[in-house]
Amino acid sequence: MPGGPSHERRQEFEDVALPHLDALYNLALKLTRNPGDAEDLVQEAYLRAFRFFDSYQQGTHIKAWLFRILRNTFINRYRAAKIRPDEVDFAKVEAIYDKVVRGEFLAGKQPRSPEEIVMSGVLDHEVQEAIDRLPEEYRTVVILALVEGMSYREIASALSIPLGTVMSRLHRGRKQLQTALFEYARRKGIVRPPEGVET
Amino acid sequence: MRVSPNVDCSEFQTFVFHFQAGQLPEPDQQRLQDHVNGCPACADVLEFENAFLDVLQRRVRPTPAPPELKLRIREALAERAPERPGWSFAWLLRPGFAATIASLVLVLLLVGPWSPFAPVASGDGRTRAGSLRVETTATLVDVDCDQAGLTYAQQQACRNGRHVNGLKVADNKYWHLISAQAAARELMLDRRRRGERVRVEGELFTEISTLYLTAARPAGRMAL
Repeated sequence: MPGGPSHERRQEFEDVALPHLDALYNLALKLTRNPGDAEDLVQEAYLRAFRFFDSYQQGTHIKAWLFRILRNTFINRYRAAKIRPDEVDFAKVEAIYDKVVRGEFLAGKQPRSPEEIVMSGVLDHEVQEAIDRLPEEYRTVVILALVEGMSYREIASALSIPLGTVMSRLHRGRKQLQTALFEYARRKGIVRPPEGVET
Repeated sequence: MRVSPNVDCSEFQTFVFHFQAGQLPEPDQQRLQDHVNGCPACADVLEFENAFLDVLQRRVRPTPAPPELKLRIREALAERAPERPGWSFAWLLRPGFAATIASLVLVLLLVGPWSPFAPVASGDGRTRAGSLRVETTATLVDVDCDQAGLTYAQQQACRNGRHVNGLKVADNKYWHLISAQAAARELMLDRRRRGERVRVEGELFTEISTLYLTAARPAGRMAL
């Protein structure tokens, strides 16, 4: 008795899984920072997902499941080969953010609003660079929350991490990202340098 | 992370991102809302963060997949035959399954009755070159399904006869299991136990990530 390919099964899988291709590719690109690697990563994730499609059918939230496979595939294939990024001193980031980024604006010491600054002076590729420089754990959660609009529970399911971890990574990721954008703006002279605070 | 009954400004500013996202339990969301309703300083903080969030969401645009990637994936799926339990013997040639069989043969040659080496009794501390005695706590999983991201409930429901239980010792780190003891074989085959934390003891052959199991218990008491 042959166990050959099922066209209908494959079509069913493509109908439910391929609509999420752009979202998966976007995250893959943010993880690998290389378009070629991102394409390979996404293709391998889809092949793995198809292989286990029969087992999956009992559940829902296929998008979270696909993201989980993508991330596991990334960990298996790419993360071990990457140079470990510098550790982030988050206490310093938080101090800068609270005193400088938020503090300066709320005290009226900066002439423009965040919107005016980031929209007018910081380029798109600089925003992308700021995201790419986030530690991978923060970067993933920030992308899934801000770009994909996933709920905290969906993110927790996709990454197999507790809800509290999603919240803390998003908190740290956003502060670090916003601090980095403020620093871009400061270097360009769009915001005044902060007084008496080392950045 | 829960919001305390009496929210102060420091706590509001700690939770402001999550308040914006509307992802907190309703009572927590309401406590924060009540605080910001009566605190001009935190209202300014919220306004600032709303402005920043709005900018981020407008500037952080997703990158669409290249048009040819979808075609490439469709072609790859068409070439790949889905795994199905059945009478096909092609699965014998799958690299993962063949590697598992090779590992079992190697370990049996080392520890089986025909081995030139005496079997190592539990607790006597002797190990062979390339192995070490271990005792640790790990999670019993269906290795293939776990690597595919399936939940423990889904793994318990997986009836694929080619899937056996293994140990998940860390994120994406697995040990295969073998044992000469009947009770241990039951542990390796019982899919209802997937997701269970177990305390295991045995001889770990590190090169092939295989644990020759000599004792195991649910994390809490000794069973074998």
